[in-house]
Amino acid sequence: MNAPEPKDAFKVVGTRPIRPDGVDKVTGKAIFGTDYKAANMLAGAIVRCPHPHARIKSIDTSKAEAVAGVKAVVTGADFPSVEDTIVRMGETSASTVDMAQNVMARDVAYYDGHPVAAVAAISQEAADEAAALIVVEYEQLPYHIDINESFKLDAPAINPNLKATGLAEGEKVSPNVTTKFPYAKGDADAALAGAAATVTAHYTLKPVHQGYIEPHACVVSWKPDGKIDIWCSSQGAFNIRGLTASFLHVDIGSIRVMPLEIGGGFGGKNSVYLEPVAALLSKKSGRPVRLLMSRSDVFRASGPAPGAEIDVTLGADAQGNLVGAKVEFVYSAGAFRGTDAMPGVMHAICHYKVPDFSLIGWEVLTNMPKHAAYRAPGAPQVNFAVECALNELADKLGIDPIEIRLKNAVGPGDPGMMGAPLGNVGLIECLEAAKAHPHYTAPLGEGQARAVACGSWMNYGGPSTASVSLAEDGSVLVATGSPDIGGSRASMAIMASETLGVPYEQINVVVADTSSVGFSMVTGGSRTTYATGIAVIDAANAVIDICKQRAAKMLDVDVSTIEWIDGEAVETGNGKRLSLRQIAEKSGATGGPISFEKGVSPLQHLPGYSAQICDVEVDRETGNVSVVRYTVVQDVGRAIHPAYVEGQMQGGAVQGIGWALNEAYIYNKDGRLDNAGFLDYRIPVASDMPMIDTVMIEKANPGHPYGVKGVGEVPIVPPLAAVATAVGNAIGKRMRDLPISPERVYAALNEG
Amino acid sequence: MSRIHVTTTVNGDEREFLCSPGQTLLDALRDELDLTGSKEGCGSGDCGACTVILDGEMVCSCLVLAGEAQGRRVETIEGIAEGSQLHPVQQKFLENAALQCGFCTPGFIVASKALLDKNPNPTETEVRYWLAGNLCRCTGYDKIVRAVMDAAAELRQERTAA
Amino acid sequence: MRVIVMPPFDREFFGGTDRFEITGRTLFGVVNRLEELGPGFADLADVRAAFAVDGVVQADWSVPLEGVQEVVVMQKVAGG
Repeated sequence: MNAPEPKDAFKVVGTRPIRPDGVDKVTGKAIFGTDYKAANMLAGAIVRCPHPHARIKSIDTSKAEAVAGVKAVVTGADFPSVEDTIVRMGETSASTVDMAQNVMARDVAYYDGHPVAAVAAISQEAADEAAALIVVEYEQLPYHIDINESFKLDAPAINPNLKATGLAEGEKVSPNVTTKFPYAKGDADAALAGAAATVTAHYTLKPVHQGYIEPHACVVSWKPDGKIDIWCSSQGAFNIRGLTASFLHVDIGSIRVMPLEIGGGFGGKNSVYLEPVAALLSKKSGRPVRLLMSRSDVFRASGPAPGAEIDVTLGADAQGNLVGAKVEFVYSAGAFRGTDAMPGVMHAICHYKVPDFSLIGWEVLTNMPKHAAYRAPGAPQVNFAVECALNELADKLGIDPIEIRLKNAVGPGDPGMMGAPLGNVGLIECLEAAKAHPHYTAPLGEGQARAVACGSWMNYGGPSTASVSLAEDGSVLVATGSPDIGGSRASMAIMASETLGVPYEQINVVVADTSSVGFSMVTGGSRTTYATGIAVIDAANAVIDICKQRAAKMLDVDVSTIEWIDGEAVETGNGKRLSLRQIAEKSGATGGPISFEKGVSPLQHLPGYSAQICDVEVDRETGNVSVVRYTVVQDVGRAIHPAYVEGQMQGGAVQGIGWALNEAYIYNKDGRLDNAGFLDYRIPVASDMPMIDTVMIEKANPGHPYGVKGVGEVPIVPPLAAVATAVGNAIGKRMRDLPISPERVYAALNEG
Repeated sequence: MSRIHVTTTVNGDEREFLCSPGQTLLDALRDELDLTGSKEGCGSGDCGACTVILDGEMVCSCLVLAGEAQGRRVETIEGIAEGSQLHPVQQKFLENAALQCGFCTPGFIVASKALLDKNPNPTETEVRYWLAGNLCRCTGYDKIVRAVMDAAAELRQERTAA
Repeated sequence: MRVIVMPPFDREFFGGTDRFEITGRTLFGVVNRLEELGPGFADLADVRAAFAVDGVVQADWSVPLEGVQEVVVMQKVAGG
């Protein structure tokens, strides 16, 4: 069922070579964000607010400054004024007012964990001791952890300066509303009134954390000439550069960010947290400063994904064709404006043909860390509600859950959410493959049940730069500006190898620093293999053109007689060949070193789709749920390195399973995060999981030379509903609140 | 602050360092001996990224005080390969694409080696429960479990051949 | 040509109006005209907006719009 288009044309694309950075990572040699040390470096520590919302009345740093070995102390007063300027981070933008305040509180601290001061000292012990001696006087303010409380019309305002966007003229809303995003077509109410069957239900989810294993870390050196060096791991070194420059009011060019290996991100390392603080500590002390987050800091102060309250009504005719949908949700944003309401609306029903709909996405502030992107940001929550409701509707109508999806699934040429026709999309193939998969009809054991769900993520392209150059001996060097978070150096090497006709092993790929390669947007949005891949292929093709010209010079023939075959310049007619090595060795005599840097900004990415099958087993005595079998089917465009594509599918699905069953931010009665550690915030472990079966549907993207579609994000979208419906099927009750913890299952089993 | 002098064997070499009484073995390895292959993901024994083998037993080095290493044998990720010859567990992690970001990988490899030293023929369930103290957020564990099973098979073959 | 402004830009910049008849040789021209109708839009357009030209998202604003029926102005979503 794989590979509808012929793949025979490829020599390297679709193979599974060992990744270029693999040996470093299995031997402990790879230097991650937490591993880097600079000479004469100081250790930093951050003081964090212990209250959910408090005015900072005063900060006394005198005792801290008196600690032996302390070299610098900073507070919000040391930061330049916040300015509402837009930082261009290539397709994403950020208001610096919010982000600068999130990095260091000024007059008000907005959540438990919000930084209020920082110190740097000659040892970590001295820095920690000094941090503990900083005295902050707080006036506690009313706060909201619960979405519904914050959303009330008369709720106390978290930020009185907040201006909601998207409201109708004169519309009265809670002062904590940041955004209303309504989107409608036709008359949903009338359509639903005429439906043969409808389902209306309410769904809830708690904020969940991305849960990368590497805590945030950086080393920053602000030198006397005003140049700033930053070593850190992030999803985008250029993002770190741009945001840090804007917060500190320095030129972008004065900052150089050296990307270190990144230990997971999932959207949570698109943001900047530590670098501007370390920079100011470095400026004050005149020495490089390192800041590390503890695991508790990561949970308390870096971005969870929104919690949600979601209302859904779906209606279908007797054959199961959807006739109308109403979806209204409220997402939490944390302490500052977020960005997930719009993608939530756009992904609610985008995978189905629904003639009439009304979708409204709200977002409200809560006194939690500023929420951050998490793998398909905004989509899993609303998809959970819609897919659960659709499963319920299928049951009501007596239609198989895959059949009802096939009746409504979008295909190529169908209008997308914005009206533009969809390209070569593969949801229907995913559903058909799921239906044909032996898993779907395998017998179930005692206490087991099965469910399916599907979903979409629009993916992205945008700006990327790559350079391809030849060493003196013809070795191929590829540099990109895209941090490698899951094997992208391997996919870049494969694409360069395929294009140049040079064996994979001879391609050397690095992730370059921000002064050594042109701008690249973050590694996120499922964009890297697509967009950065196009930059690599284009640069490689340009190098081929240069090599052909050089070969023509060396052979003293017209370039039109030179062809590029299997990594060599071949003179047509007589078959004379010049290897890359021969061309590179003589490059000094033919015009100089051979290299090409290419910047691109492609937007011909296509959305990804996934259909997933989940079997669960419920322990009726304890309420514990085990996922016993799981299959992920996904339209992957073309798998450049299939093993790492499968890895994205498996990893995304397991994060979604964790979201469904275990994970949630739990706040205590004082508004403090109660489970800021991996013991109490339980992500899935090896013994929780079965093998995750994968089926790659390869429906090539005509907008990429090798057919790539983004693959990283969509696999996290369907699991929430697949798991919840399967549990519901096992116990005979609909599970509409996540996480589906054992106590919730136990209560559902034992209620009246 | 008085510092403790510790003499210990790390990856076969006798090493000495000074540590404070409250310093963990993980911090001593990383900060005093520059062995940064062992990672700190949590500092509370929940993630396993700092896994080392201490006198033949798998431990979280963030839960061991540096001073406790006195006179004992510590094996870290840096000592798993023999020179430039990768251990079969390392090789199988590469071949199976059993890592994405790679941050948890050192802990998984040390833990897997510790398992295979004790149990050359583990079932999938035994592998999953042995590795339940090592968190990976990227892979969903599928390829990690396969890599360990593959490495076990290869090691059994090597033993039979030898 | 018809220019359709999707949420949130319609309410944010154009007082809730979401349909305009605009002439422009390229998307640069369209954006300049939209700036006159909704001041502040142009400064944000490159970072926040995507333009679908007769159904195809166009990254290059300099492509001639001759014969084009419809431009849809949408918010970009880059993802995680």
